[in-house]
Amino acid sequence: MYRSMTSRRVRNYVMVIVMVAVSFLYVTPLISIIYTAVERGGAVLVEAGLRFLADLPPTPLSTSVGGIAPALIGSLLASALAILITIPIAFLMAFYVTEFPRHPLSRVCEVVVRAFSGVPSIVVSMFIYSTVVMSMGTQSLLAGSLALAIVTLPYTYVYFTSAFRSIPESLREAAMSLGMSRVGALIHVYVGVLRRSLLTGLLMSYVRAFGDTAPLLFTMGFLMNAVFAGVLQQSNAVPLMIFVYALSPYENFHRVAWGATLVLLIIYLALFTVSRVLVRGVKL
Amino acid sequence: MFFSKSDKLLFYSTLPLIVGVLGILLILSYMILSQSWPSFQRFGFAVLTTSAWSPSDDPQREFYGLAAPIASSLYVSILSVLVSVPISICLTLTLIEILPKYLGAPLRYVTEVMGGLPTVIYGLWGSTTLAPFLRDQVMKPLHDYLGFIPLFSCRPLTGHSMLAASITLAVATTPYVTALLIEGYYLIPSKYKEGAYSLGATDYEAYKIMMGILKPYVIAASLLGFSRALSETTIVALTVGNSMKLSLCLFDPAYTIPSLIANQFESARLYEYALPTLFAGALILLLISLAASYAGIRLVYGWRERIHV
Repeated sequence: MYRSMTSRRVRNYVMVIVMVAVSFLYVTPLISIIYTAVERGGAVLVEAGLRFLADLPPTPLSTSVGGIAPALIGSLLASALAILITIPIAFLMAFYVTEFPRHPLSRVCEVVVRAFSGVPSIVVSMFIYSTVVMSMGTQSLLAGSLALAIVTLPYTYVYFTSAFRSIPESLREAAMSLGMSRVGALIHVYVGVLRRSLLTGLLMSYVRAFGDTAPLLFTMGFLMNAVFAGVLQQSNAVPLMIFVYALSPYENFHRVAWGATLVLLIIYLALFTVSRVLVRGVKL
Repeated sequence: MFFSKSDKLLFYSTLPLIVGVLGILLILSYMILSQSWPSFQRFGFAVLTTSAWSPSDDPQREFYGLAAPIASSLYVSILSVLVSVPISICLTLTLIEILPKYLGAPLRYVTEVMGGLPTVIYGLWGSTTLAPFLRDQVMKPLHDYLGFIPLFSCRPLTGHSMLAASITLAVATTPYVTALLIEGYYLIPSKYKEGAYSLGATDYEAYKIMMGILKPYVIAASLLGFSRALSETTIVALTVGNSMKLSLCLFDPAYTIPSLIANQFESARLYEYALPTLFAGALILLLISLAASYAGIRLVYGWRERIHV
C-alpha cells in the first residue's frame, strides 16, 4: 500500500505523541495514591502522633484511633524471618545455576523456581494453613513467615541470578587462572564485587515480604490485645491489618487503615530509594 | 567441572536444597488436591459447572458450585491484560526509544516504584478512589448512552465491580509486563532497526517492525501478566464487590476465586464441604496459573534462542 510522505509523517507524529501521553498518563495513579494516602492517612497520623506506632488497635466503636504496634512488630519480624529462610536458599541456588549452567539439575532448578512464581500466594497461604497451622493448632508468626518465605523465594532467586550473571567473564577467568576454586572465587572475588547488588537483592526481598498480604491471610492470625505474643503465637501485619480493616464496616477502622497505609507507603518508598541508591554505585 | 574438593562439596550440598524446594512444590500440589477431594467426591464435576454457595449445618443440604467465580476470574484477568499490555507497549517504546535520558530515567524510576508497591495499597486506593471515580465518570455515562450493549446493561451501584477490579489490576501489573517487554526489546539485534531506518522508515514504522519481531515476547508477557492478575487476591477482594453472580456486565460485582477464598475461608471451616470446595477452587487456580506461566516462559526461551541465531 502506498502512502504519501506527508501522511506518513503526520501519522508518525500523532502516534509518538499518543505513546508518550499514555506513558505519562500511566503515572497519574501513583500521584493519586500518594495524594490520597497523605490526605487521609496524614490526618490520622497528626491526630494520633507517634503513639500511632506504639499503641494497640482501637475497638470498633471507640473514638480514638489507637495504634498499629502489633502489626508493625509482626511485619518487621515476620519479613526478617522470611528472608532469613529464603536468602541462603536463593543464594546457593543462584550461584549453582550460574556456575553450572549446562548441568541438567540447573535446568530442573530453573523450572522449579519459575514454577514457584506461578503459584498464587493465596494458595500458599492455604497450604501453610493445612500443614503448619493445622499441626500446630494455632496461627502464628512462624507460619506467616514460612508462607512469606515461599512467596519471596522466586523474587530473591531472580535478583541473585541476575547479580551473578552480571559478573564480567574476564573477572571469572582471572580468578580461575589464579588457581582459585569456584567456592574460593565466590568468597574472595564475587561477593566483594557484587556486595552492593546482593545487598539490594536482600533489601528488595525484605520490602517484598513486608508488603505482601495474601500469604498471611490464614497463617498469621490477627493479634490485637498485645504488641507481641511470641513467635509461635498469633501475630499481625501492617498489610493484613489494612486489608481486614478496609473490608470492615466501621468508620474508625477505615481511619486506622489509612494511617497504616501512609506508614506502609513511607517505609516502602524509603527502602526502595535506599536500594536504588545502592544499585547506582555498581559499575562493572 | 570441579576445581577443588570444596566445589564438589558445594555441588552436593546444593542438591538436597533443590530436591527440597521441588519437594515443597509437590507436597503443596498434593495437599491442595487431597484437601479438595471430598468436594469432588460429593459434587463431582457439578462443582465446576454450577454456580451456588449455600452452606448448611446439615451436610446433606450443602451445595456449592464454582462456575461463577471461575468465569469471573478469567473475565477480570483477561480484561486487565487487555488494558495493561497496550500501556506496557507504549511505556516500553517511550522509555527506550522516544524520551531523552533525563526524562526517561525519572519515568522509569516511577514505574519501578509502582511495580513494587504493596498490593494492599492499590486495593485500598482502587476501592475508595478509583471505583467511585469510574462509577461517576465512566460507568454512568456508558450505561445511560450505550446501555443496550450487554456489557454496559446493568446499573452501576457502588462502583465496586469487575471493571474497577480489572483496571486496578491493570495499573498494578503494568510495571511487571513493561519490565518483561523492556528486557525482550534489548535482546533484539540492532540490525533490524538499522535495516528499517535505512529503508526510509519513519520512527513509528520502525517501532512497528520492532514490535512485530517482539510479538512472541508480547504474547508471553501477556500470559505472565494474566497469571499474575489471576492469582492476585488483595486488590480484587477490595474492588470487585464480592457477590456470587454470573454476569457479562462489566459494572456488576462478582467473586473471583481468590476473593471468594479470602472472604469465605474463616466461615468455611464451620461446614463440612465448604472448605474442600474452596480448596477445589484453589486447585483450579493453581492449574490455570501454572499452565499460563509455563506457556509464557516456554515462549520467552524459545524466542530468545531463535533471535540469536
